Amino acid sequence: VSATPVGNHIRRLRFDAGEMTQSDLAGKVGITRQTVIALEGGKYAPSLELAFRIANAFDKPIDEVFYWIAP
Amino acid sequence: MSFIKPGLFWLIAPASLAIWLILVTPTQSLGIDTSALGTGSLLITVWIGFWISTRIPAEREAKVSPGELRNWIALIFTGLVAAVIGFNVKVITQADSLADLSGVGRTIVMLLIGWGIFSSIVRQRINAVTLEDERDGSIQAHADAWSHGTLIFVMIGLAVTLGFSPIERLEWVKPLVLAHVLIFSVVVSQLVGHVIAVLQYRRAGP
Repeated sequence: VSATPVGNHIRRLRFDAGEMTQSDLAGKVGITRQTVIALEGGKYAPSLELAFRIANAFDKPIDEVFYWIAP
Repeated sequence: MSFIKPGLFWLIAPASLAIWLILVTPTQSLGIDTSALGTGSLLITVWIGFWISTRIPAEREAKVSPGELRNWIALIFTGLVAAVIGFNVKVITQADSLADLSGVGRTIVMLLIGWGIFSSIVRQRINAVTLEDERDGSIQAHADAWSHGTLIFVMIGLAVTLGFSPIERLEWVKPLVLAHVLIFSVVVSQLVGHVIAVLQYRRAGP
């Protein structure tokens, strides 16, 4: 879980969503705030289910939240 | 930081003294049960440390997730149990009956009870909606695999030692000693699991 080829725009999307806090997002999708921090830092790749839940929290399709980083 | 460092000294000093009482001193000294005194002092010190940490500004506290905190506590207490067994190897190998090991057993049981109570209090004090998520699950699965692998490795090592060593080199093997070797193997495998979990949290952390 130290490095992941799955990038994301969570930080920007939180800002766009009225500066939603990490705790707010964590509460919405049922994860800890530290997992949000790990996701934003690119240190953890979420499961498909969690990725969909996060995309749903921002009301965006999954490919607008997560993207593949070519190794 | 200048405030935290002297504060840390006043936690580390009594904790070190408590660990010294648990590990190094005889279980009874001048009629005082030093193991109980050490375990009690350690639990009070750890509790004060936890209480102070909840008073530190939120962004600092929040760096540790509930799952990581649980593994740190488990690592400390499992390490202490392993150390108690390690420091008492001579007592264990020379014991003829369980009565000779009551001091060691009592210390371990007190540490396990203390661990249970402390974990329960910490769980109630953590102010978080979600205590565990899929990241905790994946880290725990990885740690469990390491723990399982370590236990298999130690068991095979023990089986080979017992099966292939000449009988004159197995004089140390008594039922009581073997029982403690098996318990120690479980403790060490758990310890490896907690170390791996904590390392994973640190690598994947903020």
